[in-house]
Amino acid sequence: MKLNNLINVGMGQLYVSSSEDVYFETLVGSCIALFLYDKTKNLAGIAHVMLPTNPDGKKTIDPMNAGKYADEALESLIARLISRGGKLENIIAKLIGGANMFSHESGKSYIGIGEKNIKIIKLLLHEKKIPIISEDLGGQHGRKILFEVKTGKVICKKQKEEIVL
Amino acid sequence: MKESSINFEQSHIFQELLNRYVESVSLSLSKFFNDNVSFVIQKLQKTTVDQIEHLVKLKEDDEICTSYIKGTEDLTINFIVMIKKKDLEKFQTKLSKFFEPMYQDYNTSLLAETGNIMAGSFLNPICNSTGLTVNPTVPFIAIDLYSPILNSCISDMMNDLKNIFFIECDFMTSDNLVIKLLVVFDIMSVQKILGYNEDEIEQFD
Repeated sequence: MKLNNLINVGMGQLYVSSSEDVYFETLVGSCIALFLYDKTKNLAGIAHVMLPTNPDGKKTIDPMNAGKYADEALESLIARLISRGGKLENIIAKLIGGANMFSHESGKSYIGIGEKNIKIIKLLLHEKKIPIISEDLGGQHGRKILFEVKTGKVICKKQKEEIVL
Repeated sequence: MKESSINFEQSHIFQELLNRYVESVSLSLSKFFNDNVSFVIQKLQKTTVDQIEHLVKLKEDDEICTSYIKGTEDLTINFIVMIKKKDLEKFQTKLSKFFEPMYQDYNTSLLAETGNIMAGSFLNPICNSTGLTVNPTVPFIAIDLYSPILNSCISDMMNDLKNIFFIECDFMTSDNLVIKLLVVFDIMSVQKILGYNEDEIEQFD
């Protein structure tokens, strides 16, 4: 599928759009694609979250890395949606990613960042009272994701499997 | 020692040292494959961990087989070994001359062993010349799309590292099997290694 208004969301990036013909695309492993969507305004935002929090304990200044840490990404996404007319009570969330990609010969998985990302994002969304209406999380494989702003639909490809969220 | 204290001359000396370490890997792989394995250093630069994804020239949805090894203790040096999945059969065939494929996880074992050999032969000249110790983890394996694998490694490294010295090197066998090695040095580790090679820095002066 070739799309004209396709925004490729890189690691740690964050985008918001209300244009109906815009699509967001990203690939995640242990990272999480966090989608927030205000259906009443067709207003959507995505953050490619890499880690739960900044290990330095500092605030990220670089706007190209606004989606890097879960806590900052969620705050930034909400603020940007509200500044464009969205309302917190209308915002819903979709979560994809958080895989544990690496294992060793014993079959035991390694690293565990995916699990930590899942845990913190769910906790933060709960605190903001933002409902998670769909998710595809965990497992051992990366995911290729396409998000349609017009409908809020997410197409997620994982190995040979394709699911719609 | 300040992190930014690597100057142009030291950087040049470190590049010379890296050539020796990469050559050591090439020799070990030549023995392992019983073939003449050549190498090309594609990238070699001071950068930050989160910039690695912009440096490696692979398509984001290339399928790759990866062996990821983290080295810590006196020095922090991480290794990512990558072989394109389409070359896996060639890789396996090449090694099946020497190893009998007896069990289901044969490919995983070969990837792990290749990772061990490459990391070990890279670290040997460093540890021998400095007396410093590096304890590598067991190799962790993933077979998937390139981008999610690299992103997972970068996320993992971001917990401990920020300023790094990055190397991308391709090793090629006579039948065009390419094994890509990414080496990520903590910048403080580079300074330590340079500190043990001051004679060479003086010669350069």
